[in-house]
Amino acid sequence: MSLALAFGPLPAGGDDNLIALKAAFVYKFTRFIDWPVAPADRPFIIAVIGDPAMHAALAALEEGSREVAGRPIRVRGSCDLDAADACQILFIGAAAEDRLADMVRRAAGRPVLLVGDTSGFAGRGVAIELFRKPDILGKREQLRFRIDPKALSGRGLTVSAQLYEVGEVLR
Amino acid sequence: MAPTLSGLLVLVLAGASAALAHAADDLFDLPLEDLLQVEIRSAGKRDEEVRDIPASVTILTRAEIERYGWVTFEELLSNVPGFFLLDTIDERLIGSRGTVGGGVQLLVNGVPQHQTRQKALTIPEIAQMNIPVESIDRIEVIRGPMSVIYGNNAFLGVINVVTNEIGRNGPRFSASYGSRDSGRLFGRLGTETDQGFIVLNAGGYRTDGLDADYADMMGPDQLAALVPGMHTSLDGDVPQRDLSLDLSAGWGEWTADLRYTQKDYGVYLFTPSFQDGNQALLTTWHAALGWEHVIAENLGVRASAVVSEERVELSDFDFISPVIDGDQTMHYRRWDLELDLVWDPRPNLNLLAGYRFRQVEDITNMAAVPPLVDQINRVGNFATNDLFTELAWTPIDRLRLVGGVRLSRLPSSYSYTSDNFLTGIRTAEDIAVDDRNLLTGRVAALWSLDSHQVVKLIWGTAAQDNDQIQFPEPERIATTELIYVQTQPTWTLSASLFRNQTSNIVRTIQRVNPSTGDYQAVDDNSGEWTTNGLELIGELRPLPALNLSASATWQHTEDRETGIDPGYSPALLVKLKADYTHGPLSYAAYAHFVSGMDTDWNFVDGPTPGVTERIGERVDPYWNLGANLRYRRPGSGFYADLNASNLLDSEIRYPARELADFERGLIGPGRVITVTLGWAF
Repeated sequence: MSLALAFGPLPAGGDDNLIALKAAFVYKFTRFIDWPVAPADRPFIIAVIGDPAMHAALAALEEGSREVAGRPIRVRGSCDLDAADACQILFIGAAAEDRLADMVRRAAGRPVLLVGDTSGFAGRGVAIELFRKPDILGKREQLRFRIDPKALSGRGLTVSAQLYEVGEVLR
Repeated sequence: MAPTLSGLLVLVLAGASAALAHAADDLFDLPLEDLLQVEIRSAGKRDEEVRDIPASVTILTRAEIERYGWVTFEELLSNVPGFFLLDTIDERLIGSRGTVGGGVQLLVNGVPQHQTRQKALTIPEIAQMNIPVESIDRIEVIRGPMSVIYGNNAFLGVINVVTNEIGRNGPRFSASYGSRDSGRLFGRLGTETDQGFIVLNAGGYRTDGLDADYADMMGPDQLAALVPGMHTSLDGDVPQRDLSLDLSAGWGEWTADLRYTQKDYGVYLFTPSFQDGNQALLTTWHAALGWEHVIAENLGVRASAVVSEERVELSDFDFISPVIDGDQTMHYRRWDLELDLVWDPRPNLNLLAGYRFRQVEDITNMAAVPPLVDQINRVGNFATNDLFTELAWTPIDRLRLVGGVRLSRLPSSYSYTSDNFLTGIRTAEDIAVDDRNLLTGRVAALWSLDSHQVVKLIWGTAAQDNDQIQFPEPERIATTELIYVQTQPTWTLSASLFRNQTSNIVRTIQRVNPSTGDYQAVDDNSGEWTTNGLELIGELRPLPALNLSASATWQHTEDRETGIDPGYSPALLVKLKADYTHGPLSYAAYAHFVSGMDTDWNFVDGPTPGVTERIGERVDPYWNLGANLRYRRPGSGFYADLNASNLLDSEIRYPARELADFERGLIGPGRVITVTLGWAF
């Protein structure tokens, strides 16, 4: 039985629900990627630039006992490039597109996973791009992601083969 | 200290954050495999999809319609880029890219509504505009020939009106009252579950209509021909009463739509009335059943059936003389059966193939105006069979190529009978269709300059049925268009250069009468027009609460055979919109400009070739400015609108047409103020 039957589709009025789904994907990536080992008391930081709604959705991760590799999760919204310096995941929204090149440059060679949901970001330095994929009849959509291996290499990140199997790989 | 923009944004989002966090919290613990299965119910075309459509496209959302508060569907269409409305009392004709009337295929929830022209009938196109604005969730306007996908009559474009997004726009009720004793009542009920939805929209509208004095619209000759007892103005003769019921439901792979409309309104027929005016009753109903099934990830099928009827009844004729009385009824029914196959043989190759069977039956036109006319005309049932396919190929990421063709197999002939009960003469004839295989096609190349910019080069053809039984060949159009679109988070720009070549146009020309040697005006279908134009559309959102948009369409149309400029072909259309939302209030202003235009023309019988005269004067350009103030009470469903159309009370004149043949033009509505109170659940 598919999840659509079990939980039902996201309500059509759910721009909020779509954002929540994207946030869940971002969190789920941490289960398939290993970051360099860090002390357990050092927080795992997810930064969001250019998408306040995504920041609000991810902020729910700070509550409860969710963690990444034993590290507590902290979510930061930011309007400046400093966010790229001290985080493990940087989500770049469409509104920050004009600063994309700068952020990619500043995060180069660092163990930072760059994620976006804007068409074309994969291929411009963002490692994982979320996108909506319609079914063959164009009526229903599901969330998918494409991975740019080039944007992942040289960062000290270890990506599970499972993630490559599920996502589309940018050639 | 004044709040900063970022500070304002934080305040606006504060209320939404809790809901977002709660929604996300429910999903964080699901495994990735399950997240991949979660369905997103698409609420409308996204920017990427709009960019991929090989045509010029405009999308209007419910939120935008609410901010602008348009009271009628006609008013809404008047503010769509590239469109203008021609009011002839009996009609509201959509004009686009140099021509007016016919040619725009209307869909409601994807169901094709009645075509605008039917053989041997003159059913007004206004019947298809009986759609309550309050019922509309979204409108998709595609400009350009679309016959490959939608068949004959998607000549100048397609308008898809969506009224069943109950999950996005829930139940609501509203009541309006305005100038000219106008008013609206609207109600929407429905629900959405995991498996389906059901929506019922019910709306009514009334107005006393136009009220101008004939002395301000008629020419000296027309005024001189009036007889005592005739009314001196339109006031009271052309009221309008509309009713619309629309039921839409979906369950799993099935959808069903039922739609009934009734328009009871006054029309003007050549002369002023003596008593209560001429009344017309337009009724339509549609029933549609759809089924779609995903066979595999790359293969799907759709099937649909539509049956519909359209009827117009003109009663109590009240024109020319007080002793004239009579009535006229026109009617037909059509059946559509369509099967579509959608197949992606490769990720970069998308194929659509389909078959449509259409039967039109019971075409009847009865007129009785004793002692002048007592006649029944009928057209025998006829069917068309269409095969169509379209292939989209993306050889590289930046390039998308689209090619499609449609073969319509027309009937071998149209069977026509006419019974004249005054003379006892029955006329029967079969009008043969010489070329039964009607081909339309489209090719397009879409080149993405980057993720925000696309250039579209399109060539396409389309066909449009005409309503004259003696000309079986449909009108044809070939369009070449170059479109540039840029979409940015806060602004979009679209520029389009287009060239239309229209042929087989039915009109009046001169031919030599062999018996007299004189030139004689006769109907003909060899008209050929060329239209060249430019369309610019820009939208800007400098602040989250501020939306600005502007569009301009220039065009020039010439008759290639006669060199005489066609009528009803304004050279310039301009649309402006601006809205700002602050707290519970939305402020909106909108305007549309239509440049001056000529009327239709006729050749004149006589010994000299090429002598023409217009049926009326050229009308002046006009601006129509509107404004809307909307209040939505925080924390409740209550809302109120104060809307003003033609706020400056500008004089709007529509050029003379066949029935409303006022030489100086029909004077349209003045300022109309409308107050609406409603509750959205």
